[in-house]
Amino acid sequence: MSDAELRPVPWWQVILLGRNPKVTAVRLLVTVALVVFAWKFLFVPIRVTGPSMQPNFLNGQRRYLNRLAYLWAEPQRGDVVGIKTSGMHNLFMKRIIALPGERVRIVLGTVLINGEPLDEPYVPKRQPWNWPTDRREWQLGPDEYLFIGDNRTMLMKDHEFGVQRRDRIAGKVRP
Amino acid sequence: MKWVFRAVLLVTFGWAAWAMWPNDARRIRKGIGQLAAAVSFSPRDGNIARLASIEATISHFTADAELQVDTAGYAARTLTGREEIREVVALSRRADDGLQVEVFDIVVTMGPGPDEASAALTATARSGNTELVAAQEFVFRLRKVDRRWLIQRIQAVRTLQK
Repeated sequence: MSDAELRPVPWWQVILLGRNPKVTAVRLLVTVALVVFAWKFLFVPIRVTGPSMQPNFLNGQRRYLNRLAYLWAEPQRGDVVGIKTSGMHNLFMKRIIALPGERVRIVLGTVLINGEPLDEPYVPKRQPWNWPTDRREWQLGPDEYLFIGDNRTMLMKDHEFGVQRRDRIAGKVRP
Repeated sequence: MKWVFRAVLLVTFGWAAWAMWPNDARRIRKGIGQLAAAVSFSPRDGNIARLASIEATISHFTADAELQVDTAGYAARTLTGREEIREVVALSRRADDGLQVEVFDIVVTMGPGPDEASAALTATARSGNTELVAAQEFVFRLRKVDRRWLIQRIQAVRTLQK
């Protein structure tokens, strides 16, 4: 061993850079790469904006979007999901209310799935929405879901909700 | 060391070529970004700056441009021609808090004709220092006029259909 290798490493260097700065640099790079990858593709941090998911998700709260949630499982009724717009930068955050193939209708604020009222414990108060406005049922296609926010105290015309395909679901929002 | 120098030189030339000769899709993205900047204004802007930004906005449209807006909470409206668009942009300049428009996720598709293209994008609008006011998906139809991509039609798209 050379003299340089035998020389004791100062304590401050051990704390700041580790015993071997090159190994520390590699570890740091790998950690940063993993974190960036995870935040970009696996667990995407999101910020809630707007009132449509109140009272369960408040304006300004931070949450994570699990992009792997539906890799091996199908979206379920009651899941809160992020819905893509033209890309991933802005997402709609809504709850899945009806599943592919179901018939759905809202009468005086109560959601009817295939004619049966849906129990929605996450909706404490509601306005008497009626939808579709032609009073018929909406038949979802084989790849379509109905998404609605939890804040049903809003007027129906001000609340962005509706039907979209599965490929627009970006992931599941962790509560 | 020679190969490192050559690689750096190659990358530099590649980047310069990419920056200096943009393809149509990049030109369109840049134009849409410029439109968003022109539509945006600060409450501190003077009258001349506001007038200039109105003209800059209008310059991105063809003479027969059509703008269809159908956003939740607002009545659906269609504007036809540069003059109608100019009036609405001028009206927006009366807002006291200013307006900041940003565009994201621009997906450009060339065609169907050689001088035609479409772009799907999401725009957000903020007024003053408030939180997000609105996010809306749009589809732009563009036409190449005198080597410049101009907007022929803007259609608001509802992300959630109802």
